[in-house]
Amino acid sequence: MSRQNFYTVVLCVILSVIASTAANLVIDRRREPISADVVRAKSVELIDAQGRIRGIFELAKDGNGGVLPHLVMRDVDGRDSIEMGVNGRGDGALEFASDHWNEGAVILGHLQNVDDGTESKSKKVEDRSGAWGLRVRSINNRFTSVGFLNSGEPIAPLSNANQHVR
Amino acid sequence: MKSFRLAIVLSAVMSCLCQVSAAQNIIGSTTLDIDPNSGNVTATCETDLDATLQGTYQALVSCSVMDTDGNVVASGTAGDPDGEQGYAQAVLTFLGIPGTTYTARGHHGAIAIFIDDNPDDYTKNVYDYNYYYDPYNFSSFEGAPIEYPVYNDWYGPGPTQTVKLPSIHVGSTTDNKIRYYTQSELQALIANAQAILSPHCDAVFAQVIVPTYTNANFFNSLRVTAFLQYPPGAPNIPESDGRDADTQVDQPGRPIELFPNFYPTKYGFPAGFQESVLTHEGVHHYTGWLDFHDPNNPLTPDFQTQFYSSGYRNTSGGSGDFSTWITAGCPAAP
Repeated sequence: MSRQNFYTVVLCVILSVIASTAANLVIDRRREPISADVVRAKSVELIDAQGRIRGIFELAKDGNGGVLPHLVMRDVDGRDSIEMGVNGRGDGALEFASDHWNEGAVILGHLQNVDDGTESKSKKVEDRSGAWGLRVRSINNRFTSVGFLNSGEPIAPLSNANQHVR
Repeated sequence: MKSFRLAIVLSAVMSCLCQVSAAQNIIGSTTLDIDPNSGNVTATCETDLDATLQGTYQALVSCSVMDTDGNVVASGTAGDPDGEQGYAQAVLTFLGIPGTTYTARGHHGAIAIFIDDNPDDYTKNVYDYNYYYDPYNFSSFEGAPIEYPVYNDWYGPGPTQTVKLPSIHVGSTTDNKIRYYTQSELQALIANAQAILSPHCDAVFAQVIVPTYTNANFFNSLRVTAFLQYPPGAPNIPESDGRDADTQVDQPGRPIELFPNFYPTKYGFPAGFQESVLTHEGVHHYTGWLDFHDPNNPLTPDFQTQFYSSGYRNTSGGSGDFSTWITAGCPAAP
């Protein structure tokens, strides 16, 4: 190929690229925007103007290879103010933090009562130690609740500052 | 004609290559590290000028660290006044508070060259007549400075600008980490739990946790326990459901998980709270006993049954009653 033919080929290639790019741009602009009725994702984050994550709706890892739906709302300083989630057993709860407790200052829904690791982790195992109701934690670490233990016993609120009453 | 076309093509190629290879960057970085042994927080903010910019600008950086509540807990600035280093670095160090997420933010910039357009006029107002030379137009970033995680390059797009103020802020970088308890802090909490355990509780434990309980055995066992820490904001926190801690009695070594409520808010804790939680979990760890009788594990003893004759009553349905009972000195039933 002569040098002149070579340059002609190069010029043609460049012009082709420019022409196809321009055509694509025109076609893209004429394309109707597609509105999605369903959004599918594993996590959605709400970001404020400063780039801070203020809300998350996600499938969080459960530590056993599975995932759990989890909704978090954070205050301006990054604290988890409100959490709503489903535990590994499939029981749900709505939790609020307070100035004095990082989580669970108020819990509505499923109440976890043991800290020995023996709580039911599956619907196949009866949740004997749990309860359903509302629990509030005071600034000096007292609890008042209303609801029912899964044994059927009622949980009644505190009648005074020093006494728990079932 | 051939030469002309060749020149055009080569010029275009060279032009492209020049755009790619030209180095006229301000490089900003911010890192935050926490020493797991001492709990010291170190933030390092740095602005570097590449070789092209050195001698034309002076590097400038301001650095600040905020806690979880957004309070600035440390700050500082650094420059390169003589322009000899080609970088400016600010390092901030302080002892962190457990459970706090620290966020370091570095604001990166450069100082443009001062140009005195009329050096002989000693009567002029310096603010009216002087200006600064910004040959790579870094001031174009000032309208909407952007924050980047850890590191960013800002490429000076040109053309030459003159600016009224010398300091040009191109943007920010940021990094954050969570301050966990150090081993020595956990050991100090255990020592305090041992110190404030009432003699009556000690006697009750000796009576109930037989035959092995001694005060020294119990707390020495707690000292060598594995603690799994889940402070606020930590990744993959297990389902804590508002609890303070959890002992995995069915796991080897019976490790203790510390949940977000074991870490202080700005208001701290009620007196003895953490110590009673640690002692409570220590009983789980030492004995393998459960909080309540579990029909699925009928042979495993539980606190309610074992400590009933000593006066422990669970009245709320929650395991926290045992911690409260310990805090009260393990009183006999009313």
